[in-house]
Amino acid sequence: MSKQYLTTHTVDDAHITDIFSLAATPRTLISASGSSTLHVHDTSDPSFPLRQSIPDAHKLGCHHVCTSRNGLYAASAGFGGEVKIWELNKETGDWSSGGEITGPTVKPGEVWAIALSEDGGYLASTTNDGRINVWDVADQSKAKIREYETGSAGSGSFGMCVDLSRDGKFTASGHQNGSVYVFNNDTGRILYSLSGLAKPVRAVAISPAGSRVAAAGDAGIIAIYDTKHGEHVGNLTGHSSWITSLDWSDTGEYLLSGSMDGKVKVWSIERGVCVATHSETDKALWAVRWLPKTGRSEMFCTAGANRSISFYREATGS
Amino acid sequence: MDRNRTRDGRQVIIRPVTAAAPAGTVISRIESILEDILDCLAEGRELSIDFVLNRSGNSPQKVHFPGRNALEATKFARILLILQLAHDALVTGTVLTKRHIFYQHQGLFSKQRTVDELVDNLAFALNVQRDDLNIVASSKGVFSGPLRIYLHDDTVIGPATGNALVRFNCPQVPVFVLADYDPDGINILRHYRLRSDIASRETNKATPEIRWLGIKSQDLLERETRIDSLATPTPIDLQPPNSQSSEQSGSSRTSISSTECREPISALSVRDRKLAAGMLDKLKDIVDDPDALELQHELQVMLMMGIKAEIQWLDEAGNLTEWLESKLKQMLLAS
Repeated sequence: MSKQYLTTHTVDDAHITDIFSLAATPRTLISASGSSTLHVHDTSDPSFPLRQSIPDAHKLGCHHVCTSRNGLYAASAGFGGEVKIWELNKETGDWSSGGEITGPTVKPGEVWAIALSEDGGYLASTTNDGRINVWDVADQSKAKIREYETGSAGSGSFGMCVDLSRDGKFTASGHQNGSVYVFNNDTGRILYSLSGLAKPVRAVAISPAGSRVAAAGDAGIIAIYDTKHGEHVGNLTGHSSWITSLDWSDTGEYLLSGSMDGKVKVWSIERGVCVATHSETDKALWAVRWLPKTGRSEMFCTAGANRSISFYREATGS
Repeated sequence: MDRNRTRDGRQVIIRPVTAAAPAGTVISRIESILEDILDCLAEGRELSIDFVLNRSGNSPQKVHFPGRNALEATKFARILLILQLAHDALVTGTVLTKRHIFYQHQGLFSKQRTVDELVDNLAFALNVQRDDLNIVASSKGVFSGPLRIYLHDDTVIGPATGNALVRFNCPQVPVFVLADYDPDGINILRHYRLRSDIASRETNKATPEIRWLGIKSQDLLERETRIDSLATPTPIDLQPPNSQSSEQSGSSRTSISSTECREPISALSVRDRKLAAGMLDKLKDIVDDPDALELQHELQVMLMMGIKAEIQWLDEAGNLTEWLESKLKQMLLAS
């Protein structure tokens, strides 16, 4: 059975340049683009008004933004190599600067993709040479506490994407050479090196229960692995262009994927099939995200080269 | 300089006039070598090509296939391919560059020098100049001084004068830049743009804009990001190797080289990423300039895609004219 989603709203020209990344909290959606400004959209209002603009966040533009599961922290990475932390003021609902990762451990190429832990305490990031760094961002010093190598020192493949499990146990990373790694955060060691995609891996996502890792990229296939034994348990096929973004639904039943030809797909994990395909544009989608469920029907949003953000809602006809 | 046109009038080739061997002579020499090989095949004998291994060697040697070892077999394949490409080029009246031959067959030649040496030796063995094979060192050309452009309808544009490499002060002549899709290529664009700014300030007269033909992210998006039949096996892939793929069937091109997949796409290096970030930094303060915004955008998308492409990526068997023709038409019509 297929699912029906309707476009409920599109924020046209949400940014003046391509939108490269989206991150959701229970009430807001943060968008990052080639411009220096971050935008915060109010997702509790059906017209999705702009709630806040954060000017000069990244002077060369921003390629990644992420939020902590608890909705209190955000982090953003810019084309200049800088990483900024943002904090939500629970009373006013405004975001303000929570500092920057600085010091000798930050240099150009040191940070590409980023992910925050559930409570916002830790930030994982990928590097040019395949390393995965973990920073203690709750601490004032924002020190680097872990450094995982994925090749011989300094010669790993470019880290294109990263994710942290909700329980904080695992870090997963996807690389330009097609490899996917899962790390055990307790032991600080590589748990699995997962192969099979052969082409650049642009998106990696750990399921809410932590039992699955989904990885996808230029092969156009979404590979699903289990985290217990590192087994490849299935492929989701149907995209006809590079896959740039993945996101698990809150329950882990569905996976959302976006690709360079503007198509967004919803996959049933249990049945291993695509249950919905939508596109508002034939231009590249750089980010697709579910909105945390807040009592209403399930919603997701997409953004990319057409500079707009489209919001979809599950049709509840029956 | 000589102005040549192919029979269909689609191409203008500018090359220095030399005492060239007539194309027909070279074609028949190549065909006689190929005939010898066919004879060997028909008689079930080992294949061989008479070949001078190097210029200093006086006595011609035979290169055999399959030969004594893999090295000799590979050498045979390389020579045969160059013969085939030169033959195609001579018959169709096109010109190939050694660089293109290498890029289209990186797997076979492994380095540019191998192509250079074999082409030179082959010309020597056939007792002709390298140019007579319609293979040239590079398609790069440097123009300096007055330049007159003759169009097919016999109108003449120019002369454009100047003392710089190319001065863009001839209003009738649209100037386009084609550069690699990598940070260095974009830097060239940035350089020309700044240069034209200075020129227009100095001379205080309208300088025709230098237009960016490519390669841009859109070109890659159109051709590279799709998951094609190479990635997912389809019945087409299962056909015998000598049958035509769907891509070729619409074209009259017969060269074996067009079956090669495109390789001059590679991942951005650490240096590329640093260069791109540095350039974004230089561009950030330029406001209200659509060109600067475009460069900025292309750099950001390049970093997001994580790949670069050389001009060679665009061509088919070393021939850029088809791409250029459609792209130029598109841009000229849009203006």
